[in-house]
Amino acid sequence: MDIQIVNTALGDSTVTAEVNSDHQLSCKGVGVTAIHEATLKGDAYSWNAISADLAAEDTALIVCNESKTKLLVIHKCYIACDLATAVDFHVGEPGTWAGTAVTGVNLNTSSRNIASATAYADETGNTQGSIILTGTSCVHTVAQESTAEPVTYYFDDAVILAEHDCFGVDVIGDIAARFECTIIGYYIDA
Amino acid sequence: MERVGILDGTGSGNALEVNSDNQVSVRTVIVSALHNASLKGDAFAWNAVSANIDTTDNMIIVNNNSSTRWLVIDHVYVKGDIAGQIDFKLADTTGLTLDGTAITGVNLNRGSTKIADATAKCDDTQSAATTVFLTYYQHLAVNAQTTTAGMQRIDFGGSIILGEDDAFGMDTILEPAAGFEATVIGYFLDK
Repeated sequence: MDIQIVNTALGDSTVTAEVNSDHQLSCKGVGVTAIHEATLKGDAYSWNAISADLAAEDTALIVCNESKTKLLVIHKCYIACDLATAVDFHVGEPGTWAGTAVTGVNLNTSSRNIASATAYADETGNTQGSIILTGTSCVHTVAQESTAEPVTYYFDDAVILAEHDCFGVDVIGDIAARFECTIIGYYIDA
Repeated sequence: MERVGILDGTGSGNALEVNSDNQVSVRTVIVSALHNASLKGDAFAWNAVSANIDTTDNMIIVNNNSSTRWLVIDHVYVKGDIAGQIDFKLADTTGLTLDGTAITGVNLNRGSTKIADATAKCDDTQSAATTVFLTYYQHLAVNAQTTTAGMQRIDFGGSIILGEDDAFGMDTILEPAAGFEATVIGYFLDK
């Protein structure tokens, strides 16, 4: 049976949807990102850590999904530190936590949802998991003045954590005093 | 022909709009093909660092072993400690044995137990059998006394597709002193 889609939204049912010569339904769409959609639902968070004295190969920031029913999608990560060095992004299992607890910040200020996650800064209790990317921090020196330049790593929503899976950021060199690290992620139904 | 309007399935009473250009009004949550593949457990990372690479060697090479699935190369990260060209290469590896140090693909969905149907090597010497499709220049920033190699991300947007026994490699033309980091992010897709 053929059907014709008519406009009932605006009270004029004489307006009908077009199917074009390529046999495609003609649409006008508003495209939104998955993280925007998650934020609207109150399911997107940031975890932020700064300014600890990380020893070599310490974890600057680690986030572990504690939800049984939702997947935690890692969207992107910012990293800057006072040393040009390699940075390992890894996925793995939780260890015996040792560090400073970090609370996830809901990116929708009108939401009361709380992240079902454990996060720590300057964490030394985890065993480094499988490395998915070796990146780097950048330091630019101009006229004897060194400046740490933040680097953004986009994971394109490809990193997905199930219950008790962790995403960590390890700074390989021994930094002097300062770093900034932020992980942005969101939950979706498993 | 039957004429129908479309109502919201959740019971709100909202009706679908068809505008004066005869277009159905839609709202779409756009997800990347990489994210979609990762949800299925089909997206992987291959990571290589700090081997002693000779001038003709591949820092990293990833070969698709699957006869039923494409391997799509989405993007790469690369950094070396020498300014110079980096060749991105494609190869037909039928009859070739890739050498070097084996790399295990890491599934980007931690809830998946799937294993990449691929062979990946670091410091592989089969680069002569490959075809260059992109030459990229790795620059070093030198400011005062400090020399810094910046990490580069190169997006292929899913445009590199490997069939069975086809490989993707990254080759530094000049020999790095000691350090490099190279990561390939890709996903499998049914043919």
